[in-house]
Amino acid sequence: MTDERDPRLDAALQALARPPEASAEVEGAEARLGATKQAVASETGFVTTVRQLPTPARLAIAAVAMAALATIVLLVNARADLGEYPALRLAMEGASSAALALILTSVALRGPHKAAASSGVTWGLAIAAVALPAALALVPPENLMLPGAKGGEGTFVKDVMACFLYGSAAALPILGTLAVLQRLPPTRARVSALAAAGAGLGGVLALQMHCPIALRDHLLIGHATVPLAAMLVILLVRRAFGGKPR
Amino acid sequence: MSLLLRILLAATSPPARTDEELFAAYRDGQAAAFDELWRRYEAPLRRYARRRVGSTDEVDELVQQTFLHLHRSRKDFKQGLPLRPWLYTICLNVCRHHLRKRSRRGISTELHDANTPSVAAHDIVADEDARRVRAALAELPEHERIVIELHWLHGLGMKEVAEVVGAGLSAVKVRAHRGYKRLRVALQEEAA
Repeated sequence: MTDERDPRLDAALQALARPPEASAEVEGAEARLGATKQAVASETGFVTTVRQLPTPARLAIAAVAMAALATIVLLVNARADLGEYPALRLAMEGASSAALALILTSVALRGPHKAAASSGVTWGLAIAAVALPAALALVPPENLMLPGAKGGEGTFVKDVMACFLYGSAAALPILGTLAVLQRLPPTRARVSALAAAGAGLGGVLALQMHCPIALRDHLLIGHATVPLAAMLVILLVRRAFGGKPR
Repeated sequence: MSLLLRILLAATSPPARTDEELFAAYRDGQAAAFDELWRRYEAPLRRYARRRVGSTDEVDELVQQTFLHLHRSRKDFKQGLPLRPWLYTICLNVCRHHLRKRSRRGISTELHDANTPSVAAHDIVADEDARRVRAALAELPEHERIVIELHWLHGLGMKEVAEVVGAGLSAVKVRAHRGYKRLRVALQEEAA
């Protein structure tokens, strides 16, 4: 590692490592301890209690939020072809979106006691968040004769816009839940983007339970763009209000 | 006489508890264990935070935040893991968050890193070499500087440094080697 040791450099590093006069650090130490203990004692309230839960429990809350969103959509606003669409395919599509969303969430919810994920991991996950819904859109539909599978007559743009807004709106409560669960906001822009992509995939999950349109272009433009848009919006917001992303 | 008394006291007093034992005790409700951990780590963390943010004004708050997050994360701590890398990781993340907030207020982090020595004003030593190394340290890429600071200036082992920065042991050793080499070159160039 340091096979060519330099005694002069070692001595300089030792000089830099030398602690300052003890009195400078001890001065006011008890007052600082008191202030710290006071800050710890004031850690009460619902949000604080939730943030103090162990990471697996916080992740479980995020999973429950996503499951609840999908369930509400199924109960209140389910796709028109729900009774006829192949159940296994719907389950596979929903499970893959939910699983990737949870992986992204687990990275975003890492406590500050853990080092941030490497750029390779975060880039890979960001690409996967865009690639998965796109890949699902490219899987040939089983039956375009199901109710609503072709969308409205001459309403392609309107349908695309409606689905994009529906998915984005569905992503908001997930994003809010993640904000409550995070102990320290991500210090890196790409981790914020992953949280947004996770929420965006929650929006895709809601769309999978809601929208019967099986046209490839509709799915690519109206559904698969939700995580991408969520990431871009968060990055722009960070750039505007959070300084230069680091 | 006083020496004899000290020896007797040392012999009769119970052995100091490890950081991990103290933290486990704190988790189990012993508030005094928190005080002991604070007394052990406040000063080193102050020095570390000062090196990270380059200013003494904000250090009190950063160290307080570090201990607050230690408290918040206490249920995540697993038996058998060392506590020290945990504390330094929290401190590093708290400092990064603080620097991001500072850049939001319009104070450029890059400018600070480039122009301000990343060591405290009170660390100034007469030794000219130390001054040169401090300046060269501020010029190192962040991933190398963090490794050098944690290992050489804060005494963390390479395995602990790897945990703090979230990289593999060999990657950290490479960073340390490269950083050390750059510092050596800078020292030689300055001297020449």
